[in-house]
Amino acid sequence: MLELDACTRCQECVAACPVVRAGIPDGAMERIDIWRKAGTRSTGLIARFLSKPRAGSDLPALFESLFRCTTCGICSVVCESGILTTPLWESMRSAGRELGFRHTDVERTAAVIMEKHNPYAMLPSTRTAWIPADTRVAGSAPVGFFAGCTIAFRQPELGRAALRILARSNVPFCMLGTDESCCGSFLFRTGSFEEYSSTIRAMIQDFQKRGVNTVLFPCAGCLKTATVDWPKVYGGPLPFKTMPFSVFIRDLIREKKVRFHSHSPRRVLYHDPCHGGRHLVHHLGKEWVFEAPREIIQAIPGLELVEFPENREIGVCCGAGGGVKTGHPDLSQKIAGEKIDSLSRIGADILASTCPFCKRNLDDARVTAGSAIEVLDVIELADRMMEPENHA
Amino acid sequence: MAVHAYTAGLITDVLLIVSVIVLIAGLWHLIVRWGHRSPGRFFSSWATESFRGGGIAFLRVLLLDVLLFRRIWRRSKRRWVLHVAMFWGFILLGAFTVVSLIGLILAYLDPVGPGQAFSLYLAGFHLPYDLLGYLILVGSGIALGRRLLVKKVRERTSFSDLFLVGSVFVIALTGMIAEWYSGYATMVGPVITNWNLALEFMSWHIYVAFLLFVMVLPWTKFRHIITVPLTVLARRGGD
Repeated sequence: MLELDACTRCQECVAACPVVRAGIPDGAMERIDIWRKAGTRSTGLIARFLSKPRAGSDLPALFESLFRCTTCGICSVVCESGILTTPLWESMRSAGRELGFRHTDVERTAAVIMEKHNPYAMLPSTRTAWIPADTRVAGSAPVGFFAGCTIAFRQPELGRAALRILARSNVPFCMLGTDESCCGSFLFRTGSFEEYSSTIRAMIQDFQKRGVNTVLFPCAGCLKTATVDWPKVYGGPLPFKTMPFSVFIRDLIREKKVRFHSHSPRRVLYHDPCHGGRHLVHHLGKEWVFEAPREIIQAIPGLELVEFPENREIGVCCGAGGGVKTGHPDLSQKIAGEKIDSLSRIGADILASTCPFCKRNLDDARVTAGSAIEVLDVIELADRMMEPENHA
Repeated sequence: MAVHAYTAGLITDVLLIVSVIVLIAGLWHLIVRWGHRSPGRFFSSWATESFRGGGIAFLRVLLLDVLLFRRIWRRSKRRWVLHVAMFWGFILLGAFTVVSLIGLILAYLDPVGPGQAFSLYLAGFHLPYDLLGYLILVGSGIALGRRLLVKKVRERTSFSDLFLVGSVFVIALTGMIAEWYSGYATMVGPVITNWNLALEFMSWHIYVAFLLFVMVLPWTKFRHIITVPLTVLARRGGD
């Protein structure tokens, strides 16, 4: 309640919001105002004297607006009062579910995750089908690799690139195999994770049993969920460190364990994923979340790193997060489309990121826009540029 | 300085008492609400969060983020200048007012001794006092104009926003008019001296300060004067 009362209605959040920029008249400021008033109706003087909390007619619109939010957290970065908005939106969505405000598409996806342990309604037994047969995966090792559902079921080429880099490094690693489940990101973002807690705890314990002390995440969404949300479910700090895969590659480069080809000059524009960037900067630090992917790009001969005008902590969301790609795909594509449109002003050959979900959404928008730019993950980019003789 | 004990009549006394009672009741109500009906829970959880990084980190956030508005500095230097000018202008003006009231009381109690000396000493503060007054007046005027005239801002402006900037503007304006009529105002001088009007406006200045600021502070958007520092400290500057 203190945070809600701290909103000065300065409108900075409104100006920065990618949903508002896409023409939807939502705003963090208005949501906070409605929620604060709802709280006042329940706990304010009138409610206390009359013992009669009143429901508000503005709540349905509030929850509609909440499900249009990508939970990108830019509003939190620009907030003059330092209000932590992303956890606030997630808790409001959770409260909304309890009050009976449920989004059909979101509920459907949540039900699929509960049943199939992935959001794509794929059979759990097929989760490891993307892994090449000759991959050496240890039963137990200090390093764990968590692929995530999007890699396992939608972008196996990205996962294979990561496995090739692991093989080049000669670092033994283990995976959870078919026991790997959805990290729960969608459920945490949409306020419906409670029933899924036991699955997450089981994965944490599985990594622990395998002697893992560092888990590598090629997916920003999974990384954020494991770093920020899993400890809440686990009831304390995790028994292992969570590490972006880009940091693993960066360390290989620093230790000179990998070498790159020389290439014809290409300009690479880096898109900071919200989940792997500003959401984690206070957990993992700027060096890991912002600089590591850039260091990789800069280490590859022939590649020139270029930046969006708004980058790092104030990078603009691709529009896929927070369940928006599921619940409001048109809005999601509109936001991504604006990013693709801005590419012509910047001038780049490759749009790189460290989030398969951003990659997917930006690539969809690229196809719609008919842009010739190539959308790649930094892992794929690094793998492609590495010397073939290093291939395992 | 145009703060005059003569205006402290019955209305002012009543307003002062009522305002302070309503202010304290409002603050208590807020604290109870923040603690989900338990003030103790609020204070303990706020202290836990605020001091999570240790005393030095707390002091750093207090200095850089609360007093020097580091978050705004990172976003916009222009907004930072406006914020710092308004915030520190308001704080210093309030401090000058309190000090000058003490001086007047001393002068009343001891008109020829140290009280008079202190009163004369305070007279030297006319310039900063007036400059701060103009600063608040211009700053709140710009804020009010922005809320009313800039279409994009106006569309998302609520009554509570207008009440806040409007109140600050009215409080500052009545105070400055009183100062102009007093004959002591910097840059205006004794040209329009009219003590009756000066006292009249000073009375209004005091009434509106109580009615539009002190009394309503916890019940309106003015509460952010308290909630923003508390939130920034609890969030350790947002870092």
